[in-house]
Amino acid sequence: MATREAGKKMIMLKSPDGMEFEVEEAVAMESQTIRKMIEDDCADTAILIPNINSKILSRVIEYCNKHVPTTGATGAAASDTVAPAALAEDLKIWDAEFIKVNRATRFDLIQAASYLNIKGLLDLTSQTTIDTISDNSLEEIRSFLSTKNDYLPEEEQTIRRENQWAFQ
Amino acid sequence: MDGSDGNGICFPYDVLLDILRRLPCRPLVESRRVCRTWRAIVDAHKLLLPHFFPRGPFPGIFTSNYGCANKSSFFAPSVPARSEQLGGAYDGPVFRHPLFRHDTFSVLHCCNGLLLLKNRLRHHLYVCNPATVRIASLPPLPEKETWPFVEGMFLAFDPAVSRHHEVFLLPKGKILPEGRTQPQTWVEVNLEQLHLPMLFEEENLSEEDQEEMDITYHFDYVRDFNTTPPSDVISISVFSSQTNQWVNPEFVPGHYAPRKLYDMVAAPHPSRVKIWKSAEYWQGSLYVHCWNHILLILRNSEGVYNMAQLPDKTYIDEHTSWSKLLESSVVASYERGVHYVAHDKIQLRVWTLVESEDGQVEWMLAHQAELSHEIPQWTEPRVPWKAVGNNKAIASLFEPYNIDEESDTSDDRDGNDENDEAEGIHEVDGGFDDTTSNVDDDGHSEEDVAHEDEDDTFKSVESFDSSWDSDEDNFIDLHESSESMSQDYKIIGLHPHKEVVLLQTHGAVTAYHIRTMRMQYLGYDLLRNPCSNAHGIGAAFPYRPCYADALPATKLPYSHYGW
Repeated sequence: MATREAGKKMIMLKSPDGMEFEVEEAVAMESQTIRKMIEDDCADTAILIPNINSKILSRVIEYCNKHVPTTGATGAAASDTVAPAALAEDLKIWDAEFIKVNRATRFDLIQAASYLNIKGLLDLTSQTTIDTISDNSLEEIRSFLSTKNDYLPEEEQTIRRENQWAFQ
Repeated sequence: MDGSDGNGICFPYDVLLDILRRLPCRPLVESRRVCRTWRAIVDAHKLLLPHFFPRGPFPGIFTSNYGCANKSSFFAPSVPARSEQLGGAYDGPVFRHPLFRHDTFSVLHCCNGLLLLKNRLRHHLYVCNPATVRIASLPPLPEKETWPFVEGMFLAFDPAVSRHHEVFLLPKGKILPEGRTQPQTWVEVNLEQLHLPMLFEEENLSEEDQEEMDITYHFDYVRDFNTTPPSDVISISVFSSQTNQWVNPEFVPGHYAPRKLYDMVAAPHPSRVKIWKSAEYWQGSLYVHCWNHILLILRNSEGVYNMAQLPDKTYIDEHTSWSKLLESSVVASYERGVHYVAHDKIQLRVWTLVESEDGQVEWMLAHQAELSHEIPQWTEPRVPWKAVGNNKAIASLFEPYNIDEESDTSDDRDGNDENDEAEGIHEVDGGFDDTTSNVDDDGHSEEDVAHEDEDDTFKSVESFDSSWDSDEDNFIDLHESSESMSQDYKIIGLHPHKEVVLLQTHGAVTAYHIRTMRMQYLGYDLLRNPCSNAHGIGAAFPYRPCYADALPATKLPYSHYGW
């Protein structure tokens, strides 16, 4: 890998709709997928991120920017000035705000997090979905996930019987 | 990947799997109803399993007794007087009172939380789940099977595969189907040879002998195929709770079913020897420990069987012990698979069964240790295990049942007062080592990963005073004992989810921890109130609660149970 400058190394990320994002290498390396590309020396020029449009990619970068110092990936953590606990608390609040997005965006974020392999973001987005599934009725879950009920009535009856044990 | 393809996959498969895996029990159960795809994922990855088998304390051991007032008993941690401290944090089954009349019902078999019970008086059979408090009676046996001697009857139940259970009834006295004649060679089998563990020493046979044997068996097969269907089928009665009927499938030999082993099982056997000693159901197959040191593996879904010789050359068939716990036994646990445990005067050996895709069987010696030491003064465990009392009340399994009316008679039958002081207290975990399972499991990377997450759920239990720190309490260090004396150990079985072999020695029950090679006393008096000189434990089953079954939710009126 070429080291062109002494300061922060920048990486260019390209979305399929043509937008380009210049981010610090450390931020980009929050994504294990991109980290692998960089380490394999495939990242000299811009990296094309397929499947993730510029709107979602910018949000992902926003997330990574926020999370990079605490993970210690840069080696220059900002925790000299802020207590780690306060920092974690701050991040939690920030995450909660960050995930207040509409359903479509959240699903896009899940896919992006999965493709780019960003564990923190995947956990955050998955947890929100887990909560949704846990707290809603079957019909609400189906409509939330745009899923059709593809069971025959008698099949549904069978499954309901099978499930009975959990509700005793 | 637009999230709206209608089949429920709005996410990458791995992500959806991860989300489902992290759901709590009820949402996960309900997620099976969302759509076919979701149910397929939940079932394929057995995501419900940790919820069927919550990792609670090990409740105890069911036994089947002979020569005693009680046909069955439940051996479990006794209760320290601290019940209020538990505060309902652990809601698994902790039976302080019999679930069924121990003087009336014997436990024939136990499989993944279900019990197969037999009513001594009416010879009715029942399948019950003590955890869900549900029970079903079996329809009458197929006509050719006769009461009262039910032998070789085994339960098969795997909640990850189906909520339904099956009962296998292996034939008694003969394993050929009705009307078939034994092949000629069967008559010629030399019984003297059959009793010897000769198959393990085949290399010692002269080449001539070997050749002769091969020719015989080869000829046998050829002739069978040319005239009648192969005669080495095994006809078994199988009950399925799905159809509520007995059927009579015939199992044909699989890839690894040597004819000579079949002949050894089919050979005439002394009347006091059990042909089918015990069986374990694991991953769709029933592993039957047969006489003559043979393992029979029945795959019901395919209708085939395989056979293998058991390991351990020092084996002698225990002709005189028709119904005793054995010194060597095929055992299994859901997580750890099928094992063969043998104790021979000094050595305890544990083999692991390794099966190839096509059914070839190998035994790997997984552990051996000397248990030869004279037991030092037996210290009383802090929470000693005892047979659950019969004196106060019967727990709710057979409701509606008038407890008050019956308690007097059962008291008398039980006739044992020494355990009474503990029995007024209800439902407290006496804590086998599960309460501290993390201590044991830490640092052992190969501990089952599937259950790691639930350990958290039960961590809270650890804090109770009544829990028993297995690493501290009452261990006998096997290496430091000075005097050697052979000890008589019988195999009870495997701990449901730990690497622990449960053993019986002179009426006491011990737990042998394979990893640490340490022995622990659980309690004495596995058997109480013998009423005959010949008394003992016929079979013992470590019990693991399971919360899923297909038993009817509505309980039958008590009169059906022939009280």
